[in-house]
Amino acid sequence: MKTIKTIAVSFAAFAAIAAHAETVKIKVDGMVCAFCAGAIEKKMKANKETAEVFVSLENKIVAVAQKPGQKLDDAKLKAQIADAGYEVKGIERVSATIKDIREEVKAKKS
Amino acid sequence: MFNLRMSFASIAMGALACAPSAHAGFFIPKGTTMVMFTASPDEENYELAYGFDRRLSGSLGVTRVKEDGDSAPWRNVAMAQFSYLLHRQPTTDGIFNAYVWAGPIATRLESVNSMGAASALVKHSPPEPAVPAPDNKTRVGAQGGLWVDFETRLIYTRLKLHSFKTQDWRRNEVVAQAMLAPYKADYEDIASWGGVQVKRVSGDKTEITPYVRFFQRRWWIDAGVSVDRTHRDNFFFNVSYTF
Repeated sequence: MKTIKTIAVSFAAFAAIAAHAETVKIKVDGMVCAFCAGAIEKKMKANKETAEVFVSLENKIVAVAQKPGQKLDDAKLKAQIADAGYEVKGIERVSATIKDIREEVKAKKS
Repeated sequence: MFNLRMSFASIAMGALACAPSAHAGFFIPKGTTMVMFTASPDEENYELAYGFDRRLSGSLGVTRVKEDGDSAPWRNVAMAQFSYLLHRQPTTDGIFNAYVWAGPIATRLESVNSMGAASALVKHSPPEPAVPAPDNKTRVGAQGGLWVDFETRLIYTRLKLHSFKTQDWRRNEVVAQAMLAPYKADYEDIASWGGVQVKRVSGDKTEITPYVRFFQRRWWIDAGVSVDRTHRDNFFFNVSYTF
């Protein structure tokens, strides 16, 4: 009984953390080609807190999904994008997943 | 839209089969590595570049150039260089870059018609016996240049000035490029471009080369063929990969 209770509590805790997983949506100016975007994507993927990255030149966004329970630092992200040579116009944290953002971009295109 | 892109890509890929300038001096973003190969009947270039900092990148490369026609010896040029970003201006829909580069070079003349990869690309040239180069001593010198470009997702323009100098050799190049994209490609799409390159090398006539470019994520391919009388059928291709 105790074991079942422990598993249930652990599962609930994990679900709570997962539910609060955020995606960081960064608006970047000047990102016009794959060469530029590739450098930014590489930097974002190198962060240990990053689960997944999505880049859209059309929407000028870099979306970074965080690993459950981990948080990317805004100042660090801004510095990394500046290091790649680009300007951050804004950072927001959204509950949408990378898949949702990808679908949204796709829908806007068609 | 997708079909239009695929059709354009197919046509452009077809052009690649019958057609393909060097990007020496390219500035690389921090933490990025690039390998590049360029070939034409009178020039080959191999380069490995890495971005050290927001404003500084470096590269090592070997260039082989032939300056006086098919019968001239190849000149091998080994070089190391640092590129420094002078100015970068992102705008809402584009970006402007200006940078300079410089570094040491070592050059040496080869025997005529040594079997380099580009020699095999020279059309209609019967094989000739190897002739010793007039002076195959290694000379050291310097090279450097200036690059300015502006690009959006539909327009690309650039101007490159590049000079090489040793005790007994000098070469100056001016390269201008203008390209248009038929659609705005996103990061995961294949970006297709068409444009014209105008290149002037000291002591030679101006070379005009229409060319195509394909770009997707880490890969980049340029291919073109010269149309001016002096350089007709002089094709080039350039392949770059970043990681």
